Amino acid sequence: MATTLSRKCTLHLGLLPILASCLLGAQACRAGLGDPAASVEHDRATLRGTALTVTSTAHYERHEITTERGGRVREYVSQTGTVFAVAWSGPVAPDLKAVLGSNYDAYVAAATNHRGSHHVFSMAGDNLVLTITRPPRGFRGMAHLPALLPAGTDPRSLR
Amino acid sequence: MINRLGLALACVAAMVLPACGGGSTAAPAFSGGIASNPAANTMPIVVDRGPSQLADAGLSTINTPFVTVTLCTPGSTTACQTIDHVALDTGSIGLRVMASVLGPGVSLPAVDDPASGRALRECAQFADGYSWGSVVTADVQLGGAALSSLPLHLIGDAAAGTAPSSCVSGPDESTVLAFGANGVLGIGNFVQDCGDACAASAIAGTYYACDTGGGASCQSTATDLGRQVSNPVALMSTDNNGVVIVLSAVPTSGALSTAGTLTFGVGTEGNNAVGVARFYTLDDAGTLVTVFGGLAQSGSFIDSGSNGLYFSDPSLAVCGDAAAFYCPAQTLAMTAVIQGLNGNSAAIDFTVSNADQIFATPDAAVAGLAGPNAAASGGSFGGFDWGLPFFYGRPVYVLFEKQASNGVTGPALAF
Repeated sequence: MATTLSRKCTLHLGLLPILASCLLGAQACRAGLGDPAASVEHDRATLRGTALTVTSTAHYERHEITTERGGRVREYVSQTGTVFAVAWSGPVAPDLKAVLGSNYDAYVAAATNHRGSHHVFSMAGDNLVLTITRPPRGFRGMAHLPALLPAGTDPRSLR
Repeated sequence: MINRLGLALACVAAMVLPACGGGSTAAPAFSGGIASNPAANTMPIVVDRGPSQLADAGLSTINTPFVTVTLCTPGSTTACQTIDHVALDTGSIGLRVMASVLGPGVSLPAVDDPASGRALRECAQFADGYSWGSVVTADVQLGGAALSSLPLHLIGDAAAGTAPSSCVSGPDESTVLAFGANGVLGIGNFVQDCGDACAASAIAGTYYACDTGGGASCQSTATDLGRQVSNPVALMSTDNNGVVIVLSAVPTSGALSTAGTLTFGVGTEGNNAVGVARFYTLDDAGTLVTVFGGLAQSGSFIDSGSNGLYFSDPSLAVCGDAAAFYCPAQTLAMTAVIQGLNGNSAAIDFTVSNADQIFATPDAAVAGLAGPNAAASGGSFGGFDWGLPFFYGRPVYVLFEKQASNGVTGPALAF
């Protein structure tokens, strides 16, 4: 695991602040859902995003990363500075390991041997709520951490 | 296991009889069914409990339509193998076959990546995992139609080795057991599985050029349309503008199995005339709009490869032991409205039954299987996935991209 994290970080040598934090330990190197707002920039690099647009609301900031061929990844950051939800759509799937961060393993565990469709996957655990759809072309997905959802935020509004 | 499969097929043939193994029988919703002398542009569909490998492991499929295809070594009429239980999927594009079901009698040559001279591999990413394997060519027989050197996805072959890390997305579904079928025949609205995007640039999670063994040797590569895994029907010499899927109706209580017909072409022959069906045009992702729960949900799709109706209704109870499905106390009747991009709309009645009770039966065809596609705590993002229950008793016409029929240009569906 440590080897994987190390390799992942050194792919982004241009991101000196992120790299510096990575060197401090594996915990700070993580990015994606459940991680600090600073990880959004790490994700933008990992996803080879071309633009980052930040929109503020009363309860959270929405960081929108524009990805390859018109795709987008939105990371929702709470006032406490944590990514509490992510949503993505576009013709190309984002790297779910980057987008879901440390929650990726929970997705893999839930998706293993599930009896549903290859085109829709949904889970609603106490710790992670996730839906992925795979229409004939393209991808859509949404995940959030119920425990970190800001008060007054309807998960339906996160898309 | 052969005996059990034989029984299942015999049961399908006897479907019009009142007693078929104790389950309910499906009423024939169309004439013809599996004809004794089928037209060249048709192939039979069966909805049963799935391939023998699943049964051997104590598993089975539900609401999964299967066809049988024949693969031959390119140029040969004798080095061939017939493969049963290939899932019929309007939600994907191209033929994919599990390498483990191919015997040594068929030799499928690898497609190369011309830029590097290395072998072309593919990563197929799904909502619940991924499949990895080589791009190869085969001569393919689909019913009475033959295709020469079709590019297809050979999943889990030894030469492809391990998937590169950028392909890995969820669980590995490169085996019959993990995938739930011996292969998949994707006959959705498009010609290639990726299309112009992958022809224009190298995209992670799609096509790769690799050395034997795969892994870190693989690099994403742009792949021209002719090398991409492609919809076999679109490459046929005739009846190539779309398909029609006709499945018998099944009762709400379910049926052990059911059957139907896949017909090539839309409005090209007497047996694929559109008749009274209306067209609903789709966007470039193959999706349309469904109005349900007071929300107009874009990103909705009609998909024979989904085994249930997947939609968000926070008022419905999710099953305790099968969180992918709904478990209402009693079967509910519901309605949603499908809207095409061309403005046509249709109100669709459907039922939601208790999935735990469905799974306690041996039934493989059940109209009331449904589950959440957005988490129970809310969310409308995923749209409405109209899986196989939508097809029971309702002929569905799939018009391919850039093809015209009855004054409509695809991608479009008619029903």
